[in-house]
Amino acid sequence: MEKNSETILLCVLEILEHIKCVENNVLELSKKSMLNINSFIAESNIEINESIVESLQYQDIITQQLSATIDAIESIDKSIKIYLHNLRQDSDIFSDSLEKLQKRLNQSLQNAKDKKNAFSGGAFNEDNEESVEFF
Amino acid sequence: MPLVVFVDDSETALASTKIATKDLPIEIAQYLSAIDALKDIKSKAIVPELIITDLNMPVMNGLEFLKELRQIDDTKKTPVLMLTTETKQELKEQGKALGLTGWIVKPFNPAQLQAAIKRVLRV
Repeated sequence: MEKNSETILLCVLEILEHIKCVENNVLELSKKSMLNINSFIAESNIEINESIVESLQYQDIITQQLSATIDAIESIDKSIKIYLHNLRQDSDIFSDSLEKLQKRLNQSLQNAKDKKNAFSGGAFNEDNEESVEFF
Repeated sequence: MPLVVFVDDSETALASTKIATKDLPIEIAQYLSAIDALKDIKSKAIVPELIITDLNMPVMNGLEFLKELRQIDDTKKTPVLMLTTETKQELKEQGKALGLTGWIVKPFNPAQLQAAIKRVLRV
């Protein structure tokens, strides 16, 4: 049972590492692409409308969203590695460690969800009229 | 022309603000970190009339930056706008308590950003 769970978790770690690698590549390409477009706009002096300026900012939001999921992956990765380490040390604490792992994973998920909300801004809000507030 | 300082750890976000404000009668200085902006402010290399900063930044976030600015004589009363994806009331309250001038949610509408700058600088 413990050996099976270890094999599965090692496989999960590899999948997470792969997802993180893809996300980092996407982040890099997205940034390069947007900087090139921004330079072109700035140098060519062309007229751009409001929706284009708003669209240019989506790259920043994409970056923050992907960075938040990478943080979540790293946190899950760390929790699984701690669990595997504990399991190898003492297989008798299997259920106790599993409970701790579950708590850590739930916490990682909650943190990721909080960051998703914090980093969305008005990007998914069609009615973003009240985006400026003075105190 | 009044100097407006933009601080954001995202190069693309800074590029967007530059494009959005190119028609305004202002000078712009951009920084990828609050630490670097603070360094130039403390050394009097720049004297901004308005500071527009992101909130979520590594090392020093926008609220910590604001707190530091309020400790410096030259920027004690300089208007500061937070330009961020965050919309939490709790964070706005923290900003208000530190003397924040206003809050702009990303992605910003260029006309709204320009209007906010004009309102603060009266240009």
